[in-house]
Amino acid sequence: MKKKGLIYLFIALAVILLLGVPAHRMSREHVNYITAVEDHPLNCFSCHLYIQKDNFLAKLVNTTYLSPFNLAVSPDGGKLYIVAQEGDVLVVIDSQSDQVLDKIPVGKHPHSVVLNHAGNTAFVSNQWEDNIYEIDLNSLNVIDTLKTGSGPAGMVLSKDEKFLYVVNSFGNEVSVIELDSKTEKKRLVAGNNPTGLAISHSGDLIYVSSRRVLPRPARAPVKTEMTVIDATKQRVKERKMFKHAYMMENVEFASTGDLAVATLIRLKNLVPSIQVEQGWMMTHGFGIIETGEDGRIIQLLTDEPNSYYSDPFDVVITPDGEKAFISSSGIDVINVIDLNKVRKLIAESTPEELKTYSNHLGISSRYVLKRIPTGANPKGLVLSPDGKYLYVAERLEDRIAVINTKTLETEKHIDLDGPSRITMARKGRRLFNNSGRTFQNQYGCYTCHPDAAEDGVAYNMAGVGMGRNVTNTQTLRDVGDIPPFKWNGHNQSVYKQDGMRFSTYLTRTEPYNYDELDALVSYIVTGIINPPNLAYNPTGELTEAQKRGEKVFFRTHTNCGKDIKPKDRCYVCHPPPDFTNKNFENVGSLSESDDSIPFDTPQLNNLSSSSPFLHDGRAKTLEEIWTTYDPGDRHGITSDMTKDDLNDLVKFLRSIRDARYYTKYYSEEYEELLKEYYSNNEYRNLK
Amino acid sequence: MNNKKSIILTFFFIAVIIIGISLVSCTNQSSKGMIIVARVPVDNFSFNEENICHNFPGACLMAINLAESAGSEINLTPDFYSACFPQISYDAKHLLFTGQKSKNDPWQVWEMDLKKKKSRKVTDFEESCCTPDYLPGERLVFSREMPDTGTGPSRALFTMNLDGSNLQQITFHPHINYVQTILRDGRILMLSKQIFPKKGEIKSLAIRPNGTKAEIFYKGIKGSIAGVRVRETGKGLIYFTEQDTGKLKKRDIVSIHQNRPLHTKVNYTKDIAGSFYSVLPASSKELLVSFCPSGDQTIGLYTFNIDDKSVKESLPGGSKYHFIDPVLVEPYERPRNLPIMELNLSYPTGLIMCQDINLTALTGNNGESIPKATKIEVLGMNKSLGIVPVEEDGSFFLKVIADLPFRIRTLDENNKVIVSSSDWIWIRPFERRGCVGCHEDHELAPENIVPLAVNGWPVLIPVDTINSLEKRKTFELGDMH
Amino acid sequence: MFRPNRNLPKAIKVLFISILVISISGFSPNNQNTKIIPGERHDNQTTDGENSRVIGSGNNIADIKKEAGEMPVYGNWKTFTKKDGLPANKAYCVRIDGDRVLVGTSGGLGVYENGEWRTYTVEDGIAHNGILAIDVSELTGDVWLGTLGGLTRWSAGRFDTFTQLNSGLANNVIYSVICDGKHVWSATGGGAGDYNTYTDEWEIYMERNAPMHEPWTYGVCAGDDKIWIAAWGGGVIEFNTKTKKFRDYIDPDSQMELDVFPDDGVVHDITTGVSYDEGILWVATYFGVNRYDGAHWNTYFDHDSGLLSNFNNFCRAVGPVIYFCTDLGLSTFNGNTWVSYQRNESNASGKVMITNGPKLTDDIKIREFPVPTSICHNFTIGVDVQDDEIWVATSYGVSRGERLKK
Repeated sequence: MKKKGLIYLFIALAVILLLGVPAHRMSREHVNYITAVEDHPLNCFSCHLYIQKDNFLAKLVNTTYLSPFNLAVSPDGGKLYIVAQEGDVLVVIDSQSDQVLDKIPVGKHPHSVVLNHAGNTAFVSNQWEDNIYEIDLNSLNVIDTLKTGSGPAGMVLSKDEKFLYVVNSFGNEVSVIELDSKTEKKRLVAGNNPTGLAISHSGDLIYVSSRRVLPRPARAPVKTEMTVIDATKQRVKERKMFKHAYMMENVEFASTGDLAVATLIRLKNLVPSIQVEQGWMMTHGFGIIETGEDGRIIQLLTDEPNSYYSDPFDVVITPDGEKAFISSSGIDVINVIDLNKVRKLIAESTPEELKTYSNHLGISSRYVLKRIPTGANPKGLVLSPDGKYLYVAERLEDRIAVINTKTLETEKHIDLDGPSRITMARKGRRLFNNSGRTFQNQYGCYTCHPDAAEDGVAYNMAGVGMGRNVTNTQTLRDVGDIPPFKWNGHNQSVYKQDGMRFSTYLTRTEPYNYDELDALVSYIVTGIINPPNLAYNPTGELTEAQKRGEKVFFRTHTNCGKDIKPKDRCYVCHPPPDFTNKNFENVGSLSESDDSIPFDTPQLNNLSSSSPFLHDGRAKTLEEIWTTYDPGDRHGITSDMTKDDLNDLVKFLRSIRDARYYTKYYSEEYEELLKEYYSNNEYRNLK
Repeated sequence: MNNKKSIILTFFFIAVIIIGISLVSCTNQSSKGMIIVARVPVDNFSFNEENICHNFPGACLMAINLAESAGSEINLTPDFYSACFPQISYDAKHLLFTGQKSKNDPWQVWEMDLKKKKSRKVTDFEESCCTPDYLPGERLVFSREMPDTGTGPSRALFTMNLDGSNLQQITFHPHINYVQTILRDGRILMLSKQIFPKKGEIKSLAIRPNGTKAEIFYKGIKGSIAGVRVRETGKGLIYFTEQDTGKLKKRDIVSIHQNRPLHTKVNYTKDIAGSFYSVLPASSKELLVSFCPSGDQTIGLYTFNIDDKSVKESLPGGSKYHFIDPVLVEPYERPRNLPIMELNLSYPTGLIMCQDINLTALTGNNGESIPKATKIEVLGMNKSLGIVPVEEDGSFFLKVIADLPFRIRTLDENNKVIVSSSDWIWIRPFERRGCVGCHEDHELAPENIVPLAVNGWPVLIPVDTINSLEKRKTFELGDMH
Repeated sequence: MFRPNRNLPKAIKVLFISILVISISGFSPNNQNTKIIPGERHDNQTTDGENSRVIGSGNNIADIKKEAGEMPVYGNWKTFTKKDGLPANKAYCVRIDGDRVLVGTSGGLGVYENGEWRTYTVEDGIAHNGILAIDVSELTGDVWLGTLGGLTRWSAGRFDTFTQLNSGLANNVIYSVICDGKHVWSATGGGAGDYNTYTDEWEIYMERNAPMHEPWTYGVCAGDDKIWIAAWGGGVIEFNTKTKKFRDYIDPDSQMELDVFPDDGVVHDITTGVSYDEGILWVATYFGVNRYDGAHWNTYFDHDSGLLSNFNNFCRAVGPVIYFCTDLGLSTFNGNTWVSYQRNESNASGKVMITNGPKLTDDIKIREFPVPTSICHNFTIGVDVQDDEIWVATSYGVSRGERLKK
């Protein structure tokens, strides 16, 4: 009996041993293959749970948060109206009882909310729906929809409340909407990717802040525009240029009428990225615009020599014009700026001194009164009408912080009643938006990938040498399924992309631990989608010109009837659904300062919103790719095309939407063509 | 086997486990909440010639529970002739210190298992070592005497694994260097004093554990001497003692803030008679300090209240001993483990770029601006390594032999010196380094421009070795991210 | 490398020919018109033309005003050339924009404001210094410049340039530009372009998708949901912005040198300018001009009307009045009365010629009034009018005239 037992025990141990060892080896090989690194723990959840998309598990694991983004307060200070960017609702809060009174459904991806002076009407801009909802705040119902341009974001009402000014953040204009007729009267050209705007207290000036730099020659210093609109004439009066700065998310006038303050980042994309120390990668601060005649534009930093306050987002100024509050969304603090000290500083300083201060990391100690810690990712700010309280939208906490503007202490938090559980993707999103994992908090993933896309700037990444391998920032939207990553395609997985090399060359501090890496990958792979391509393809039905362009894209013969070699056909390197073959190609775009390598074929989804183009961003427009930077037909055969052929092709390229629209099936006309080149299996893999 | 037997056996095992656990927890408990301090015989209390650091002969490390009555202290190093400079590991289970078994031994770094009270030798050199501290990743950093190569006695910093393997020298300039602490951002803070070609002021430099990006962190007023023991709090305050330049050579407790160390010094004790020899933050309000109220008294342990500036005696030195360098036996936050991959030790060179040599915080004697320089001269230890014309925008781009100390001065067209030599610099293998100007304001970030110099090839330094070492190796295939 | 436009070489060829013709015909300050000499009759005048000639005397201005009737008459001309601050003497176009005047020259854009000239060139961001056309958007106030190197938008100090290489612009050689709400139309050497400023999309209309003879277009104008394009060799192309449909108006007799049947349609297939206002479409050619009221065409020549010359570079309608820029001076017309302005050969004075009737008859003659000042050169290329002020761009400077009151 005892002997039998021992035999069974021995057999069991032998089986475990026999199966266990190879099973472990197989799992190790499997994980190494999937993650493209050799040190990731054998954790099945990492891939089989956290990065699942569009299936039962994904629904089970993930959830939709509210993500408060911008907010407004009623004239009597009794109610808060909060735009929930992910939840697609306007949350109404009783600021006394902290109770959520209502969640009014609004359009897709709402951006901002403004109230009329009476406080009985709210306007909410729906950035991914190209419209504005007019909401009756008595009945809490949406009573009208106003059409706008592409990507409506910040808004202001004219002083007489007859006009609503809306920035079209994707269309680079300001729509002027007449509220009596509810019609758009005109669009004024603004800067590149404008988002915020403010109206002077006299009502005659409107400032529009933009985020992206204006198109410029490669390696030329950057400048970003603050558009000045004469509100009486409804015309652009001036375009103030901020040199060496970008990401001017928001702007605010001081009630004293002498200045306006805008948030900004002073980027260092032209400086070889060889170190982080001493502000060599990014610095953050604000711009002062003197509103008087010949008013100066002055830039000052909120950073300190060994501590950076990344991704400044919103700015508000107390009614007495003495304090400004700036939300540093990348490091979770509110900077309190003593504007009187700023006024004194700029009054006493020569232009040369001010130029030095714009890069000075120590000057902030002269005017930063305090840095108030907040919850994850503070975005929109609003002051109570009496200026006693500052409300902060803590986007990745689903709550509002209430700060006493006298004591500069956080008095309470108002919970917006979002999901209580924090998913892996949400943790990852917090990491993505936070600079704490970069040396001295100088920048985060978000800094160069705002809205998880790209900042439209080419950087001298200086992996080796200096002044070489300038690389255009690539979007992170919907990239999970299209390895390899980076222009040189060195990273075959997001795990590798954000692993050790990432910390060595970019964050230059301790790498993410495996839990953090899983969270970050989960967010990048599952949590970032492309906005709808409303400007160029709202329904999926192509226009006649786009169809002609599609024909050019899928053409196999030149206009002269000559056969085009497969490798020279657009669709071969850029096949749907992602419009990339996930492979390396040389399209003749190498410059002398590039290492001699082929580049990873970029995807083309939502291409229209990601200029400039090519690996070093040398092509400012799609047209330039072929008219200027395609020597010898290396980037497809185009020399036979007429101008209107090219215009049609560009129209088609701009119409390409998110990959999910093409995953199952592309089109009857071209499906066979694709299969003909890619065997059925390969084509399935592409999908 | 019948049930009775098996039940008894099970109980027996459970009992053994419980006893084991309780014993372990007891021994752990034994050092919890205690402090370890160096007890120095009064007669042997003298600072070294630079008046910076101290290895006191005959000293020993005492474990003391301040809550308990006097006499409860335990000598942790009874079998050492001398033991000083205790440093606690992040998990508070081990202790690094410098010691000598017998009188004539060179001082070496030792590590003690606080549970077993057993010590093992970590370094084993003919030269003395001091100021050890733990680095993340099972490594340590320490200061070691260097052979005199004609520059005078110098000390360099080294890192190594705690098991004694993978020794790396990380400083290469003719300075005396001591480890002050490991900053929370992962950098080593070191006290540094130039000894060649002439003696310089004492400064604190921050440096990455791989020896790259050394930069000034703190500098006191001329002649002041910062203490080598430095402690950073969770809120970024960095406490240390500093000897003023007065006749009494009084030592005060000062703090600077990690965010802006060059301009945030606070002196807490300038109005208190007596000298402070070490400081250890015990809470947000209290510091545990080594304090000597007057010249005829010994240095004892006191608690210093930051708010009311009061000093309360905790452990009197008595008549025979001083108590200095206390450490708390408590786990503390591990600093960031900075990546070392940036280095490639197989590379013989590194790169340095300057945006504009004419950008300087210096002015002429009468405050007038300094004339424009058009060249730089790279100075080695004993000779010039080359004169290099700069670009129109004042930028230069050099490829320098790795780990070679050099200084840079700026010249005009006629090779007349415009700005005299910088501090000593060295570039680690494959390190890329940049500076905004020469003698520039250390708080100035670079302007966002492409320096003309980096559009071309770097100039190899020393210039007479051009291409002899490598062929444009810098520009081989590189990682763009 | 992508070839911008296969039609460009041809377009450029035609442009050069045209510029050659222009140069030969009078791109010299000394080459003055000698067509109407006081005391001599016109070729088309009867022999008893002696009696028809009236030389202003006594209250000159009063006589001129009386003779002109409803037609505005301009005088007190002031001339601006390079020495006065104009970027270059060759002025191609002029546009009055509120308190300032914009002049396109061969040396860049000249802006006259508060009595001073300021110059903008390629260094400021303009596509090319040769600026052939200017229009100002009524909606936004943005200035659109048609140049020999592309289309430039000048908006509150910022210059954005659209070329055939960086945008969907049909061709870099732009003869005419017009803002129609959110659309900016350009007549180029490679077709007519429609730029939708809201969607940032471009349409090109040429012989492949519109009833044109070839892609070279010379003028464009807008009104009443229609766009009219002066197409070289294609007459006038009408585009309905609502239906997106085209129709063309070509010379019915297809004769290059003569007009077989009067008033039967566009005088010639080679059209140089179109302008529309108050329901009337005006057409300029090198062979005469047309008026079209939507039902009937009227044709006017130098030999049968008050038109100074058949060689018309440009026309602009303001209200009921059309302004024709000819090689022999400026002719204006309201459908009934012609008032033309011509500089004397020898000095800065000139003459105003009034024809009180659409066409010359035995009873309707050209009356000539000497005036002390005149336009700076008779080879006129551009004109604009606002309130009581007129500006004329010529091959040797620009002239500003004031409407005579009494």
